[in-house]
Amino acid sequence: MLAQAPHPRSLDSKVIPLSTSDDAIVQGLVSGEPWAADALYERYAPAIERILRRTLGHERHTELADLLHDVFVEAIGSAHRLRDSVALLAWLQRIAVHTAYRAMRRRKARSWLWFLQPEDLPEIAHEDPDPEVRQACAAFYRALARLPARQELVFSLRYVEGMEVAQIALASGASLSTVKRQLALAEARFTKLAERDPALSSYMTEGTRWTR
Amino acid sequence: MDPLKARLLELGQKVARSSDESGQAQTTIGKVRERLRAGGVSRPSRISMPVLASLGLAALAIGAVAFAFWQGRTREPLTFTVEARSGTTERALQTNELETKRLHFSDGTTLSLQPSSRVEVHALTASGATVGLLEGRARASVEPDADAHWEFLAGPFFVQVTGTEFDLAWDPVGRVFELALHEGSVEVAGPSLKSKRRVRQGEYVRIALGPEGGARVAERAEAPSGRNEPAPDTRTQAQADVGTPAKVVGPLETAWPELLRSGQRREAFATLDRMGPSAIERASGPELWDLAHAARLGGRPKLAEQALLTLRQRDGVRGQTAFLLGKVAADQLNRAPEAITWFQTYLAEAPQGPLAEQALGRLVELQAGTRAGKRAAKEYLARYPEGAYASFAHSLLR
Repeated sequence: MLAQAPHPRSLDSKVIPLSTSDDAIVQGLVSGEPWAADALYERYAPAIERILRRTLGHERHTELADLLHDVFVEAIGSAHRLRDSVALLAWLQRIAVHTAYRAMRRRKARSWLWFLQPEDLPEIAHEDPDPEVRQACAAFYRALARLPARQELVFSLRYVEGMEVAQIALASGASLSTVKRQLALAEARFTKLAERDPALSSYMTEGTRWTR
Repeated sequence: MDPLKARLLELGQKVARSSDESGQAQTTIGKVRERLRAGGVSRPSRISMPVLASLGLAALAIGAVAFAFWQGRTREPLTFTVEARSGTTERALQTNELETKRLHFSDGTTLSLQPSSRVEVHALTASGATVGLLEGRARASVEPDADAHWEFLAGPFFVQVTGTEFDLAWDPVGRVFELALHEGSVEVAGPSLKSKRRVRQGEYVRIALGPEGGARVAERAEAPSGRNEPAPDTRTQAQADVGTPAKVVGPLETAWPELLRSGQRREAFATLDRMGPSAIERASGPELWDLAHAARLGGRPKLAEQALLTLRQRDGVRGQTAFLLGKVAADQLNRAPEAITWFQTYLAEAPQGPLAEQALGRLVELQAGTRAGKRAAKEYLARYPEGAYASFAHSLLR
């Protein structure tokens, strides 16, 4: 059977003791065990990738892999600051949310430099066969990108990632009242933008049109 | 709930589902996994465009000045690093029985030191170095350069190199010298050889000296056909300069489990490919586990699958084998229905197992948007309300 605990290996060896707890992973990271980084990634990469993709929109973010890499590099490098392994996922989420926020700010700061507008860039391959859905998704993130970065973040965390307001406050490090205020502003602004966008307006007035 | 918020929530969920179904997630995760495993733990630098433009101009200016200096340069001696730390000459580097080390020289040459080996860089020049293999095995890959001048000492033997790739071994106790040429050619000199002997690509040399230093054995055979294939048995012997027929002590070839243990994953896979499926069937349980992990992480999912299935069918190992088969099917082979069956099998075999939370989470993820997915999400939230997939499970039930 698979070993229940890490056993000595050469540095190149990539054996992951899958049965280790979060606590063992954190201890392993702190003491620089090579398997711990692998175990952390294997366990939490899907959840973190999802947050980044959903908040930033994969069709508009060709650097998603870089950002996912950033999150884990930061997590692995700063594991010694994590006091309680119970909070491992929340801690990773916080790093992911800050990484997404930085990416949003960077994108806005650079927008005047692009030769092509982001929406004119070639699309990333998408398995969704319905062009209407794809158009609406692109329009959704296009409208979102017009909000200030803080509002873009809280809106996408609330409505796409499905986080509660308290969770957003925890993950973003902002106070509950700040998150509520930013969210209200984002909702009002996004609704106006969506109502003016032909790809989104019907969803705002008629409710769901997607049958999938 | 405020109708506007309800509508926004509905719209957001549709966007989320469309995003989840885009099929990009596993590609991104796999790409980053490889990057992290390749040692990419430093953050990629992102420089703003104006700064980049300024840096570009500065680099051009510096490049022009550097080129002018280069025209009449005096070449500096090479330098080398050992696992990213700078190395020094006249100091032996050693590996323990579970360790490998790689020396990177500034001209691009590398020397991979195998477990239980010792090496010393005696001297560095502008065109090469003199390296002594005191004990053990090493693979050298010398950058081809007409001016290159590399010398390797293995016990009393002397190997002169210009640009090539070869395996070198020296056993100071048995006084056995081995050399397998994968690319290029080298010249060998030593106590059993009357003169310098040229060894070419595809050739394998093994010389066993007696305890008193007299030549007792010298033999040469065909070397491996591919650079990743270890040298073969010395069954077809050809006479070297001193050719007393002698017993074959053992080939340079290392068995695949040993290669895996020493971190030479690619070489181990190549050996397995050459040996065929029977090699997997003959392997012990722990060796199959090692292979399953290495193949899964080394981009050989079918090999991992074969090892895991052998563990299940031959040794009756349940539970974790099912979980890993599910992971391989979902993450690497893109066979979601099969992955669902394997994760369900894991939960049936080890309902309270250490991977139950992950298995159930993966079922939620793989069945998102279906009734089964909702059922799995409900079960997940009931069993793991604070679990890693809780937020995702909630989003499916809204």
